[in-house]
Amino acid sequence: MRFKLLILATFLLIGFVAKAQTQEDQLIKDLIESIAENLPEDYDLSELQDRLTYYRKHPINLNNTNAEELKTLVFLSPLQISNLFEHIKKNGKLIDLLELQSIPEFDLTSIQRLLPFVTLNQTGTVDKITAANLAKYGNNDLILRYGRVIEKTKGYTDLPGSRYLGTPDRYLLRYRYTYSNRVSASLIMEKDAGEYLFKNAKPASYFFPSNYTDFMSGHLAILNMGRFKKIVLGDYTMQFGQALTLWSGFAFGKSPDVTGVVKRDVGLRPYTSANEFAFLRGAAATVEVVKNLEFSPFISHRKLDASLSTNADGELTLSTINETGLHRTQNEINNKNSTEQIVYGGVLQYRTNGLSVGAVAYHTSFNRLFVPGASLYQSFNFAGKELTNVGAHYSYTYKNFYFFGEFGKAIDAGLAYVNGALVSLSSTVSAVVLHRNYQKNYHNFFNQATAEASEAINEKGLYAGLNINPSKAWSIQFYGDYFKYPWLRFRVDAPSDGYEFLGQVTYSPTKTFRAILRFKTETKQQNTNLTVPFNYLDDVKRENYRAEVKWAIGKSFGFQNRVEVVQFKKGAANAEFGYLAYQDVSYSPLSSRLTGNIRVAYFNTASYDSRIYAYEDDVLYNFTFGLYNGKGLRGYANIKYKLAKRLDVWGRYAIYNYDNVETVGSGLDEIQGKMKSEMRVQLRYQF
Amino acid sequence: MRRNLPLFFILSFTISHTFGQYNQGARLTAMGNASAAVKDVWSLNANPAGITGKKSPVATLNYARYLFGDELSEQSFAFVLPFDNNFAGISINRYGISEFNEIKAGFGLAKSFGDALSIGMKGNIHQIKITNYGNATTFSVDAGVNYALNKRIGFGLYVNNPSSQEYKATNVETHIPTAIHLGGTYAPSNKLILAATVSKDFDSKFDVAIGVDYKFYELLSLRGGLSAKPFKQYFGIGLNYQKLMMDIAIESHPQIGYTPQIGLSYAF
Repeated sequence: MRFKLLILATFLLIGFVAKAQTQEDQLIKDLIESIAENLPEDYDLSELQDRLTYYRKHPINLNNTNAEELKTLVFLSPLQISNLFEHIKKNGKLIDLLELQSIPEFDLTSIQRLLPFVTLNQTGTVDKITAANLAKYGNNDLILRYGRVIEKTKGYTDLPGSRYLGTPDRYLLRYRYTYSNRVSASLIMEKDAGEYLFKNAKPASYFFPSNYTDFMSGHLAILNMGRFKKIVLGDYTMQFGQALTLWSGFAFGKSPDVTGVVKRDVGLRPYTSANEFAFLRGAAATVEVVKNLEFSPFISHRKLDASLSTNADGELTLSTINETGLHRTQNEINNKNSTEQIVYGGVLQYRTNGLSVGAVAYHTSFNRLFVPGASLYQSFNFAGKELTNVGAHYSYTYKNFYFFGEFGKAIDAGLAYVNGALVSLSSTVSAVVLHRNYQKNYHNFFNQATAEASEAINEKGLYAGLNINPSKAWSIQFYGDYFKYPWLRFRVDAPSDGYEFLGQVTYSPTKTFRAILRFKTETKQQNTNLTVPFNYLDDVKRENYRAEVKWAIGKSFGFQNRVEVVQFKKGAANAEFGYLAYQDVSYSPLSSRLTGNIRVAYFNTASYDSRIYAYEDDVLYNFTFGLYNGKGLRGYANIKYKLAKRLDVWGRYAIYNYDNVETVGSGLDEIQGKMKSEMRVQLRYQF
Repeated sequence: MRRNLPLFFILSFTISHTFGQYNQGARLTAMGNASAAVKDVWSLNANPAGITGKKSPVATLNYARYLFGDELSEQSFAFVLPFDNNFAGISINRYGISEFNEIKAGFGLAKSFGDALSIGMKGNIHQIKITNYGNATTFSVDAGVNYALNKRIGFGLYVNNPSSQEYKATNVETHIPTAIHLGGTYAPSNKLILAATVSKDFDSKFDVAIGVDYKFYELLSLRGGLSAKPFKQYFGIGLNYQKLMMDIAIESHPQIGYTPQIGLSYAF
């Protein structure tokens, strides 16, 4: 019986590997879609995709790796990782990848996801840093992207006041160099729609004397130099513990992958995304002090965007940092790089297979004075110029329990902590529990901890999730989260609370068919819409119902259909509804230079409150969550063509066609007419 | 008496909102009361067919404390006696303070037909007593069925008070809930039970509850649960030493806060 199963699994896995090689991007896309729910629009997750694409070419040797490296494969749960090490410790090195099946928590889906990125063979035999090797074995990846909204928006017309000063074109240049797991470098230049291309590009830091385009980013990293595990010059991210004390860049949170709330801290990483805010700029390193003990010192200097005002003493002040990275109008250009930030500190980490503990300390200072906003809800915001943060984090595996947590403290300000456990209850069921308490005055500029609100402050909560895989075909996820805001919030004039519940059932009897049913409900409180002397709070309830089928005809055509209904209800007002239905068709024959996909969607939402987001296919490295609001049709088409062995080209055209409107969009983005269309072209050259 | 006036408001609030179901003991409470298909002594207050899980007579005491009141609590007792494929059980719940209390006492009978199917019925007497106001009495019936599809998956269905009995006294507003509950369990191993129950009280919306019972060691069980309306979270542990069992549960309600309870059982 066991033997039969093994053979069956072998065939499944072989089939999968073959498919994965032909559709390298498909898997990465699926993966990111399943873990990254509700990303901001047009978010650049290229750093994540970069990692995965890199491992496709340079698989991780499971017999010679560490937890930090495996955590970069975001779909592995920490419990799987420690079970793997436990297995190797007990049974010796893995002899065959099929052995993974005998490790607790490794279900077929995880194994299928994992296989393309791992190996058991010693790889990277050539890794000496010499000029000849760097030239011969290095990988170069160059991407050029151009895009624009085709219709003319109001901001580009000859307005008397605020208007977009640049052109509506968007440009991106992204160059990446990697050599084995020893050297990495990148250069990114970007111009958003409405920004100047060259003019008025102010320098952004000591570390970049001048900017040639509106946004520039780059790094040079040398890895695995004896004691020096990592050295990064230029732009980098630091991700430690549960993201409470020091975490820059993107962090996954609550999602249908219920274990997503357990952060996969990957430490110091070079920064290779085009997002203009979430990174550090300067120098950082990770040094092995003694066996299992690492120290990561870092220093960063950046100029950030903020709207400044002058206080009574004539000093320039700000209340918040602007994170959009847009510099289109005169005002936005004036605010650009108006504030300097210096961050320095270090992280000490002790790690063995079962246990990991760490301590973080760093100092943030600004050349301008922070003043809290005038509203009552802002009264506990950061004030001053200097801030010191300290924190401690841990994770510990005991049998089938993985405990994790972090404590963070801002000196002379608040405290925050998060603790939880990930438990493998049986071979088919795992559970997550996470408790959090973030004080209202927990000041930290690098806090991405799991929270319901966009910032992990002024919140207490308890999250519990279950992941059930009763058989190969079925998979069920649940989570419930109760949260409390002890202090006021924007548009919430009293302490409030709420809860969220998600249930999802996936049925995938074959490799080419998958059906998903999802239900999500969320209740929060917000100021009433009525005009009253004192705002009272109304319950705001949002429910999502989703049904999705993915199927295929033959080897070349794939189909996906989704229907989603949103119900929104605030206070005593009647519930309003939003609907979305779409049809996706993809064409990707095994041996064709041309692949592509299209979507046709119909949406009808009563208002912005019942809007719906859905993941959209895009050119490689760009991630779009389409916003479906109003009533109309949405369509897009993507094509990819392999021009030559190392040269690919992508094209995208997307359009909104609204029903019964005279203008689309608002403010400076307003378009006359009922259409909004956008095009994008991308060229990638790998050499 | 005046001291307790605010308490009366809270009591009437909790009776109509949280007392829709009578206390199901610390184990089932810790599982979010997702009890329609779970077998327990306190199935007496849920699906009476669930008492067929016991192989020997069991007696149990349970005590729940409502933290917002000075002396508000619920005490309960249950006993189940198996004979052949038949099971008999009695239960008593008392909820309130000395000036106000509500008692539910009942007698249940259940029968199992083979390993898969069992059915159960229970008759209850309800009494509300308010010092200086008098008291009111009525009765109700609960009935349920359990069906095991296989070793791993089971289903349960039960109804409370299908004939919608009410207190006869005209000055008592409190009613006996009429509700139907449908649930399932999934036990992927001998150590783990996952349970879910959908409930429909005729006077309120659908409620959904899910619960987990995980036997961590032979001695120790960990439990947790969620229910949707209102959104409540539950946690609990069970200690199992030979014939003696101790269960602890904590229920967290968004308005009422934490309600701890403890249960002691002895299997003869």
